[in-house]
Amino acid sequence: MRNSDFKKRLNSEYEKITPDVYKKIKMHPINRLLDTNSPEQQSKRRFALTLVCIAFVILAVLVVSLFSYMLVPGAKDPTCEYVYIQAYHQKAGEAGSTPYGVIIQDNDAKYVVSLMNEQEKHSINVENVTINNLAEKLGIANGDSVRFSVIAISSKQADDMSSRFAYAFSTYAANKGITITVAQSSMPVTTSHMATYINEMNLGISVSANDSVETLMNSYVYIASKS
Amino acid sequence: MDRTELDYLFTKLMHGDEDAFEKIYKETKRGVFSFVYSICNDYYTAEEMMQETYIRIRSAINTYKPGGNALAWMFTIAKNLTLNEIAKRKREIPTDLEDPALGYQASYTMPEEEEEGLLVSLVKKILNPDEQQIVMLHVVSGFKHREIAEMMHKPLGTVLWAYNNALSKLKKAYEKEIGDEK
Repeated sequence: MRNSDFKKRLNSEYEKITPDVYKKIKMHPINRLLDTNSPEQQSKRRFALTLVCIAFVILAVLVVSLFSYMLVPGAKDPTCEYVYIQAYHQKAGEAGSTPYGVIIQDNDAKYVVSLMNEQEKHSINVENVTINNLAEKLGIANGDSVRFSVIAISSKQADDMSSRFAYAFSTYAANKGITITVAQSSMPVTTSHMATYINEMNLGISVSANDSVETLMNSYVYIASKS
Repeated sequence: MDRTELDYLFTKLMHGDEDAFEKIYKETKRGVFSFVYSICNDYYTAEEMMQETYIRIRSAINTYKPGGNALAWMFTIAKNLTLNEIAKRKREIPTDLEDPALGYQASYTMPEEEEEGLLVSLVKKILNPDEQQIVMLHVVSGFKHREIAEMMHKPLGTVLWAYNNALSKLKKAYEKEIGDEK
């Protein structure tokens, strides 16, 4: 048998067994081959579909963001439960002043949580003392002057407490019919002051100025309760 | 079919000409089928892969570069699809180990209604997969030996030797079968 005959026969045999998938596909309309769109049309359709999908995703993200914004409480300035006030009380006619460390609970009642005479390093009983009767507790008298500085977790909280403190002392003076000087100190108190004081108390607590304001406040309250 | 004509039909298909697709199919179906059949050795899988090849050609026609070798592009698609299918089936775990329809089988099967010729049967019995592919690509699809060597990543000499060796084996077996029948 010649090569050409051999090849013809092989071709002929394969021709016989080759399935007509085109015909079969035509009998099954679900098949993708029957899609009458041209490749260009398909491409355009895919592009449009992609755009729609992207638009939906963006819309979904926006809706979720909006809901999250509505659900989550509005962003507030950070606050701490306590505020530390260092108050210098200078009695009328005296040269020196006595430093007090006051921790005030920063809620509506503004209770004094601890009060320490930082010069003598002892705490003073603060049962039922609030910011409003703190001046009385400190024995502020006519002609005295009070300078103070505040440490809080945010400047807003510090400003609020400063105003409240000055107002309470002024009101106290007005009610008593005395004249006092209340002013914010030109030398603001620092966290390193608190840390040094707490460490000097030597009550088993060691803190650093880099610790959080909350840690310093809690430590201060603790040492006040022990001394 | 002339390669330039096939390239022209592919270009027309790119512009959505359905008649061009039908012409391509008619001109290449035997070559595509015999080629995928030589790779997978299973009639039903070959039929499925042939169908998938034409579907892929249509869907991926925009990636065809006009002026290129359309037939080689087409056969590369066919080969990749078939090899992927074989690999996929090897990874699948048949639920009934007795059922040969599950999982890829090395031995080939034919539908009862199809009549397999003596030569096709000898090709399957005597030639190894590489030889089968070389013979199919050259004899049925009309690829040159040089093109086959490029497609199969084999040296031209190897392809030529394998082709001649396969043809010689087939002829001998065929003549023996004919002689035995007589």
